[in-house]
Amino acid sequence: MDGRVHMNIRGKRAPRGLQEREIAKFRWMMLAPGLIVLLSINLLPIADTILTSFHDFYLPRPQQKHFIGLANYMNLFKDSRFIESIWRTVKFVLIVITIEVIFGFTIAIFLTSKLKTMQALRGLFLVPIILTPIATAFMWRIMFSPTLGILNYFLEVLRLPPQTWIYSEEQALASVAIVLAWCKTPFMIMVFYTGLLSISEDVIEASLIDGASAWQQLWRIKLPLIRPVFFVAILFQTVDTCKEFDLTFILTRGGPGSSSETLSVFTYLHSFGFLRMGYGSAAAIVMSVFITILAYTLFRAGGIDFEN
Amino acid sequence: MKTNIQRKELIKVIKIILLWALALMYLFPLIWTLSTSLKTRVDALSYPPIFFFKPTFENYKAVWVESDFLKYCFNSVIIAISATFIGLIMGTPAAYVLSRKRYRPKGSKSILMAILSTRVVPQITFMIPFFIFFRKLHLIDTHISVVIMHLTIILGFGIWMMRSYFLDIPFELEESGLIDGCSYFGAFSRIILPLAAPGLATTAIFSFNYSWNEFLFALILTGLRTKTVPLGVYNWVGYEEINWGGLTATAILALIPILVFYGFVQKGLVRGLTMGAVKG
Repeated sequence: MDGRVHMNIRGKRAPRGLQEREIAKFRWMMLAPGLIVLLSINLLPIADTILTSFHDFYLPRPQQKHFIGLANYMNLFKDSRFIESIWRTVKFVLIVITIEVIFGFTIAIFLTSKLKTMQALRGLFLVPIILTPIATAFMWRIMFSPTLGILNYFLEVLRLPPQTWIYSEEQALASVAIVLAWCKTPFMIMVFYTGLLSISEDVIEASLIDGASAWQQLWRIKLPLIRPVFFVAILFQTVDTCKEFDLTFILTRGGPGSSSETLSVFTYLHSFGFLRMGYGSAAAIVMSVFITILAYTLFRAGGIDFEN
Repeated sequence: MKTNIQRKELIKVIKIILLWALALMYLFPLIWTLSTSLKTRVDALSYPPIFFFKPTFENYKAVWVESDFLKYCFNSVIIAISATFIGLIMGTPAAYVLSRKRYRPKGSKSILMAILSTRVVPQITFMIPFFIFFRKLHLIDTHISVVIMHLTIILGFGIWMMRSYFLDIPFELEESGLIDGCSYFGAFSRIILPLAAPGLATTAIFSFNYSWNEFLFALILTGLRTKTVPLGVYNWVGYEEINWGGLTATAILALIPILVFYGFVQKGLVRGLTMGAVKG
């Protein structure tokens, strides 16, 4: 069938070589605008940041910019604040992803059961993801207030000790993680939900006939079947959590001290706070490499296929 | 037998009630923000917190009178529409070619992976060189600088998204058009593009939403003339104290267009969130 159609086209149009040339012309006409812009706004800046990272460049004195080789990188890895921010980011990602997966998966399973008003519920569980991050951050700042906040009021009602939330070194990072998990859990819910829906009824019925309990069905059949979707969800959330800036910046600015200073806040502070563009660029590059390796590992581990 | 059915019904009802309770608890921060925006200054800062009060629209009036909210909206709309429009015009044709075995160039896989890096690399990596560049050209505090920065995300996103929609359209369709004498571009623009219209709409809404909510680039690049809505929210933070009423009211207002838009893309939501990797 396919072959015949091709023959027809060839017969009607032009000899093979000419058609090839026509296709090539069409291809590059369509690709060129997008790729050229992409090259100039995405790839060139990355190259330029790499270049800047080899320089000592204090923004207010651009004329003193000079090449210093790998010194910025050496200093970064000697900078205990930077090393700590890497570990902090890892910890941050682990907390956020764990919360998101547990809640996201549980809620997704509930949402697949055929109950009344389910559609409305699904809509409600979605809302946080579309909030302006900055609004989310301030919303939680009101609630976190140690003296006036509603969270500590609830704890008081429940006769639990008040917490310091984002205002103490011990709890700041975890508090920010809770907020991020709160606003990104809908992502997990939706992706898991879609995955669960895509499992065909036949498979479920077959397992029921074989006498599988609901629990077995979940662990032995549903989970393995949505494994690829599961990894896509984790991949995207891990990358986004590593990059997270808005919430952390509004909630704590990396403080108190540097207790919630993740890689992205560190990089921001050094480049746009202290205006050390060379040092900041080096940090940005290390961070990019770090995230790329992480993403690639997950990509491979999950056997994700973007070609579908 | 009958009791068994009754028990099942009961479990269903309990499940629904539990889920609704959970949903309300989950959305409590949003409810609390809404209620704060309807409170007077004194009520908003009272402890223990007040749950029942007479709502006032003073804060919303203040947003209107005391801040340049309309101007922020105007800036946000201009930036979001330009970035979305440019992104789709440039990205859609490229996405189409990359989705078709017949047209795509050798190494199209590496092109796609390179595009994916726009999602992986932290925004600040793009920001540093562009900031230096914009400063040289005196483009700080202009719409165009923010549009370019938003394009760094939207263009790559758009290509991946649109490609996933094009992959869903069987090649036979344009094949028949080609037999009827359509040019390659004609088959794309007259046969495929109309079929991909829902995909275009979803991609556009996602891009618009990204631009509308974006904070880091706007924080660094905008000034008095070009502040966007997220910075309008941020504006209520003073040196001495935060005007919670004004801030929450602005936050609620900023949410409205996005809520309206999302009503339209329920179907493409998961695809948008995963750049087409998971088709919902």
